[in-house]
Amino acid sequence: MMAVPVLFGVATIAFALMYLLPGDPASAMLAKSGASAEQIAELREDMGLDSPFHVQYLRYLGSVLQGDLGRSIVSQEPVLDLLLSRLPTTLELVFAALIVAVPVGTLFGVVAAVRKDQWIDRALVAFSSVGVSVPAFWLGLMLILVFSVHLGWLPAFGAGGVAHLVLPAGVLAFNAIGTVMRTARTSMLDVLRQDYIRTAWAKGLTKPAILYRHALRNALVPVVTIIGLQFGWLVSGSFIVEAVFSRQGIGLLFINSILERDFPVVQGAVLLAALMYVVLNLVIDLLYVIVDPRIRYD
Amino acid sequence: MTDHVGPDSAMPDSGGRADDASPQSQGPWASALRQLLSDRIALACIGVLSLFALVAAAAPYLAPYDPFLAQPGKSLLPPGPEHLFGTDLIGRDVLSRVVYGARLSLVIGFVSVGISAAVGVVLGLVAGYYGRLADAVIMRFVDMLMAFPGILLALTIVAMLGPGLTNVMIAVGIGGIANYVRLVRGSVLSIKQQPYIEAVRSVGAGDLRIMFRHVLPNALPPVLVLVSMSYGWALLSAAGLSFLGLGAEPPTVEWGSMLNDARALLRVAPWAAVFPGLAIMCVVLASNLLGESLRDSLDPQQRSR
Repeated sequence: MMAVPVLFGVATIAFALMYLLPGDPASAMLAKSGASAEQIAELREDMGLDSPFHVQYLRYLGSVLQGDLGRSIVSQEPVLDLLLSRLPTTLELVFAALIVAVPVGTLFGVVAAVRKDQWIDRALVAFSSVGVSVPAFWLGLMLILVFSVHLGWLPAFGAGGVAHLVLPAGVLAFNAIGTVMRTARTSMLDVLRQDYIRTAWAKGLTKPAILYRHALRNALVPVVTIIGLQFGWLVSGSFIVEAVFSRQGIGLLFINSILERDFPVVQGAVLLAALMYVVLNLVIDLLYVIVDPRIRYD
Repeated sequence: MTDHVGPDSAMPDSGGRADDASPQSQGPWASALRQLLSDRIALACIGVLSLFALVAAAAPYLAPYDPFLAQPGKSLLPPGPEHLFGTDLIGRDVLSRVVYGARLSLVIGFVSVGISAAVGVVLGLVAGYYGRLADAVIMRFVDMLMAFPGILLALTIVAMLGPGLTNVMIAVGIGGIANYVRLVRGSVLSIKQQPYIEAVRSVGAGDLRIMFRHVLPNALPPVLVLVSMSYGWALLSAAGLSFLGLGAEPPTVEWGSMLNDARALLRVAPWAAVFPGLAIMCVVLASNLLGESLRDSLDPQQRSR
């Protein structure tokens, strides 16, 4: 139940984002149109910006709870609608990456643990080091170069359809596989050292039975934890990947809004991303019960 | 500063050095250093990082051309004997720009990590040492920071402060604080239970003296590991923000913004994108691997594995 105070804190940061800004949103909104000081003052009053800090803060929290995130300065659309229209594009990318990264990373980790210190372990560990070190924005450009420019197999820009998803999801997954693999490897190594595994060997069980029935299941608990963390990293990573591949998701909207100083949108996107992350981690906590029957929430 | 670490008794984990053959008892730092120097991967990483630092420092002597010099007749030349990494749209030498870019990119990483470590270590020290209200307030703050995973926190702070190089360093620096606080707080919690802390207190040392002279030095080894590992992350994040157009502005030479420029030319001049990215990857990889080697050499329990 740590989620509630954290979400409250996130909303506070999102509010502070707007409040602490140099200048205020009203002048930011009218700056381009060359409005007079009186018009700005009028807008300030309309927006309630002349109220004291705590009034504005409570009003903000109230409207957020009602799902009102304000309007975009640039397009005048309600921020919530704008975000929700972009959300599927981002989620599609994140889940595609997750669906690739988790099984592949787990498989690599398990193989590396079982073959510890053999060449395949070394190769996989090296691969995961490169995976977490390669800049996603650069890898994206390189993949576009090879698969779109030279081979012409896959589209370089935009969203829609599986073909548009392969490269961006591949970039995101490449970064995530390394982390998942590390976790799976360490966890599998820990499990393989346990007494009950030695017992299983002693009583003559076959290797597959020991590895997959006894060891793997117990090694999966930390992997489930890392999925929750990875989801958050993938959402934030997708922001950069969307920029590379010009996918019209939340990330691109967020970055363009920063550049255009469209603060209600920035504020809303921050809130949404953190909300997804916190809620997902709550779900993961509940998932433990399924993976590990020893854990109970009473 | 490392030689201020007190006598051996001050290191709780110095007993596990069964492999220490030298008759004179060495401090844990020395033993860790020896272990590190016998690690080929660690040496290679130190080599790579030193090389990049050297390149950055000696940029004016190493770069074959002026990185800002536009030569209109030499636009978009592919890599060749005259321009090893090719030239960009306005005929600037890509190799020279990568060499000069090392200066800013490496420094940005350092400043960001410096901010994270300085703020994070102090907050962690205070939270762990005083406990109670200070701990509760600081850790709730950390929880809030952690609700913004990855680069999202840095992006949010840049949104607040506005784009620009200084703001990117501050943003990435704040983005890294949480890990330091959690790490240091954890170490401090166990260190302050040690008898020697009680001994120092009974001689009349004040809180500040105990915290900074006696607790902090013993909490530092894991911080060193985190510094090495988060340096890669910081450089990567800062370059990412510059790539998005939120960091270094055009006349400045920085790897992330070079990639941003090269993006539009991907079809005609891929070399302009290849080399800055490779440079980023080398530094990040070296600092991550060095961090892992450091961790293994500073943690005696890891050595047997």
